Amino acid sequence: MATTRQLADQPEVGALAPTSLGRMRLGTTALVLPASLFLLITFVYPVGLLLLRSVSFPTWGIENYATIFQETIYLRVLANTVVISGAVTLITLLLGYPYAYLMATGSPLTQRAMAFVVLVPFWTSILVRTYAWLVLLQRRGLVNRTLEWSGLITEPLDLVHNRIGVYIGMTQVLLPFMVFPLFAVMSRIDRSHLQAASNLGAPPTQVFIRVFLPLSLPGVIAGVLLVFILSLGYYITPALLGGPRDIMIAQLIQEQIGEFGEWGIGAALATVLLIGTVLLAALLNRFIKLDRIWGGQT
Amino acid sequence: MNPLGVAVVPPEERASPFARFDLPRLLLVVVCVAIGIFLILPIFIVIPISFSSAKFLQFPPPGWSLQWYQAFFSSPAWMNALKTSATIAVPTTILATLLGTAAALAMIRSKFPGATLINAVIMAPLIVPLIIAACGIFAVFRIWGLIGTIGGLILAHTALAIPFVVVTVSASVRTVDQRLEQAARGLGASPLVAFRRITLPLILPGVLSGALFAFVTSLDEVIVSLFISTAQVRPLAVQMWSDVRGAIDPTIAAVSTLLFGFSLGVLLLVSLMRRPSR
Amino acid sequence: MSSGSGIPAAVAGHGDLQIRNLRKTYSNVIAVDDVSLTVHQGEFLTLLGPSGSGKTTTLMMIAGFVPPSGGTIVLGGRSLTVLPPHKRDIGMVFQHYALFPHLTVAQNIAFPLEMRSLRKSEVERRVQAALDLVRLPDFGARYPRELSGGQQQRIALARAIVFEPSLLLMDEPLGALDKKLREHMQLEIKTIHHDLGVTVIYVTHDQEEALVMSDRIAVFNHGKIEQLGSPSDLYDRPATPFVADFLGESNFIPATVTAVEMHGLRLRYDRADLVANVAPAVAVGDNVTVTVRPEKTLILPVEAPGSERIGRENWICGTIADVVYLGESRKYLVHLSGGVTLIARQQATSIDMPMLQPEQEVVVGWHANDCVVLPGQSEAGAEVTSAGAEAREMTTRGVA
Ligand SMILES: Nc1ncnc2c1ncn2[C@@H]1O[C@H](COP(=O)(O)OP(=O)(O)O)[C@@H](O)[C@H]1O
Ligand SMILES: [Mg+2]
Repeated sequence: MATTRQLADQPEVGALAPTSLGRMRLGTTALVLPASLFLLITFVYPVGLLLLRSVSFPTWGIENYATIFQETIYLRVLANTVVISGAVTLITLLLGYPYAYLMATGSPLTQRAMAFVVLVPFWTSILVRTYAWLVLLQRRGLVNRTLEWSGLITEPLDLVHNRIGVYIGMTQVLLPFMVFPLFAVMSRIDRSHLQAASNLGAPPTQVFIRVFLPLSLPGVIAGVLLVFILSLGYYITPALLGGPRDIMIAQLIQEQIGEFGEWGIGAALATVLLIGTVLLAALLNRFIKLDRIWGGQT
Repeated sequence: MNPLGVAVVPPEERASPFARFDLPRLLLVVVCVAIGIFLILPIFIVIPISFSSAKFLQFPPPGWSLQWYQAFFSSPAWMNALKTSATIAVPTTILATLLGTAAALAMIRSKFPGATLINAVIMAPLIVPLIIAACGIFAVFRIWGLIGTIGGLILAHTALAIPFVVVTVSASVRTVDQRLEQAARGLGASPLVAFRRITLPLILPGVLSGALFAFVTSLDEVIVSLFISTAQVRPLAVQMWSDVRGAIDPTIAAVSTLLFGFSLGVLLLVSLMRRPSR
Repeated sequence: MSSGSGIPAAVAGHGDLQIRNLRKTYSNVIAVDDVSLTVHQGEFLTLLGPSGSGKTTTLMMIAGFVPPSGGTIVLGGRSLTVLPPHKRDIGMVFQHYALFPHLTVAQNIAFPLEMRSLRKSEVERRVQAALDLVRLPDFGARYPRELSGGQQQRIALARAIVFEPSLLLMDEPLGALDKKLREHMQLEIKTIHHDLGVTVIYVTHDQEEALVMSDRIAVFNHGKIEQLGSPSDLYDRPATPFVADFLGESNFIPATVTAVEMHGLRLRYDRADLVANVAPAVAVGDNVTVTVRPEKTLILPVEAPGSERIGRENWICGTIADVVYLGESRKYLVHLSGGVTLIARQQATSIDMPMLQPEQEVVVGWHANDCVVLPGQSEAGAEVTSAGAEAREMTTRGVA
């Protein structure tokens, strides 16, 4: 008898019952309110207001959308954004996959060291990193000087203020976001599956292609989506390392609103960017819980 | 012998004769070392430059001096920016940690209607591109008269930092067995005492890393700050932004070195705090 | 059931697996300690032992996933030690099946055939034959997650035998199944073994399973083989207290040798004189352990007429401490006068057979043929007993 009563008092059973534990439960729920209200006022409302301006500024209507989807300068930036994001995603995948693979299959010490290497840039100010690239990649920079000294080139290469600079800078910034989900999935692949394949006669390359690769696919999809999403809205790196022909949508929004006061066009561009981002993020959320990516860095 | 000696043979066995002539794996290691170098070595370049004796950016430095650190610490603009950043980052950290920790406790510990929606609101700053946030906040803060104010910057930074606190703290709340607190309640502790004596000490490492995350977010934030700061109220990151864009003066290398050292310290601290909970 | 030890020497040889002085040490643990073993072609051999005794490690060394620290493994005259796993041609059923989650059942079974570049039609034919063999002919299109545990087990078996390996390894293949299904699968595996004539090395920590299925059993303890023999060898003539206790239940009675005779021993425990029809290498005055199975004992009230005692040479007096009702039998815990507790099990031959009560004075008797004398007297005996009990308990938990 006593046991049954104790069970009934468990919060799982009487979650919202007017017992003292039930009250505590309500109290716990209320704790979410301050942060939610704060973000509603300082974040959600401002973003909402901005989006509204895409149809209300300078007058009500959808001219702003008509403009950005008709004029070549806007279309070119939209295309740029997709192309650059796609390329950066591909590069980070090509680099991130072997990196995550070694990390997932290495000894605990290797794993720690490799995680640290990925985390250093993750925690370092993006301005510091971008500045470092500027120093390295400029015409009289370390990379060009080394190449000239080694005799590989006679004229310094243009490595910055162009597409190359954008790819290099963004790859370094976004590589951690490819490695984290890949590693998370790869490290959970059961070794007995690989042993089974090998036992059944698969040589190492076949074990990789037919078993490891398909089993790591959820990580690939998550990493690709995450990096692509983050690239779409990137501002600092392309702004500092790119040239006039590498303008991405974020720079265009900044220019329209910050410099020309074209709130309508800027807001319409922002809406397009946000819709793309949210759709992809919803897709991503099906593969890997978003908070796990940021929560699981070590 | 094979790159999958790797996966098929357990890691403890890697050093065995089986793995000795493992050419593909050796290649893999070489590739990964190269990637590692690509990831961190460029950052280290700022260190020798910051100690250069040259009058402008030059590599390798012709000699060594502390002139750029002197320039940094004696420049009113930089010092002002540093002070502004500190004035913003400290309240931001406190506010974001309090709000974020409370929200994380509620989100993990109880189920409530509309949880998905609230979760979306709280995680929004992670998903919404910063440029969109910046424009929106700029628009609203102009109406509210918060442009160029310390208060405005604190509010904006707190909004951006809350989700980082929430994810970090959530991760550690998940690891704490809720029955511990219930046991304490059964032994006569009030809800508050039970929380303070049992749960809080257990999630403290998570809360502290969340706080560090919030601090670093505020310190490094550029885009929103660019929109809502002014020449008078200008945080460090914005000062750096204009210098990186403009003339390349090694003072910024000194600032970068200081910030990089700070980041490394934070990273070490965070990984030390994570260890016991793993 | 054929007796493995009865395989004629002339047949043995070309398909045998020979393990010599196999060792595996991890930095601070000796997982497998100098194991030598010959598995005959077509034999069903079980590695039996408590958890952590080195069974899996031995199996993994045969399959090639764990490089040995020393020793050799030869299969059909070919040394395996230098061959990578994928060239060994050994079938294996993994502990948790390791079915590829991204492939259908048919694709799983086809995998080893495709690795061997068989023609497509041949692959299809063999996959279907394997599915028929494990009696899941219509399951080819499903994914492993859509199968029950027992079905996954069968598919894992089908995948392991479809390429007709000469040796099949199974690591606790039934560990995850419930008791009924286990017993059913035991028979099915036996049938398949019989039909295919494949050599099987089977790992389990469940002694009943080992007794039911095996031609021979190798009992593992702390990385070593304690005893190797047919189920009846091990059960009736255990060589060590560990084996006596691990296979079935056993009583251990410390005794002193009083006389060594032609066909047996005379011994003394407390005030009782005992005889055993075995002749291990012991001398008068040695301390030994007499082991006797609970079901080989007869328990009678002290006041029972002497006629009922006829035919059993050994009798010891004691007091019943506890009675456990087990349905088809009853188990009595008897405190002997010398301080040892003995377990006696009686079949309930008829419903009205009188049940003895706790505190009752009784005598427990057994045939001289039914006990085994092990050299040495053990504090260790007690320790081994508890280890065995633990292992049994784990077996039970494994089933639940
Ligand atoms: N990779 C390993 N590293 C260290 N010790 C191990 C490893 N694998 C097994 N062992 C140890 O070797 C012993 C035998 O293990 P195992 O062969 O798995 O036993 P069983 O299969 O009989 O339960 C155990 O003590 C186990 O802890
Ligand atoms: Mg095992």
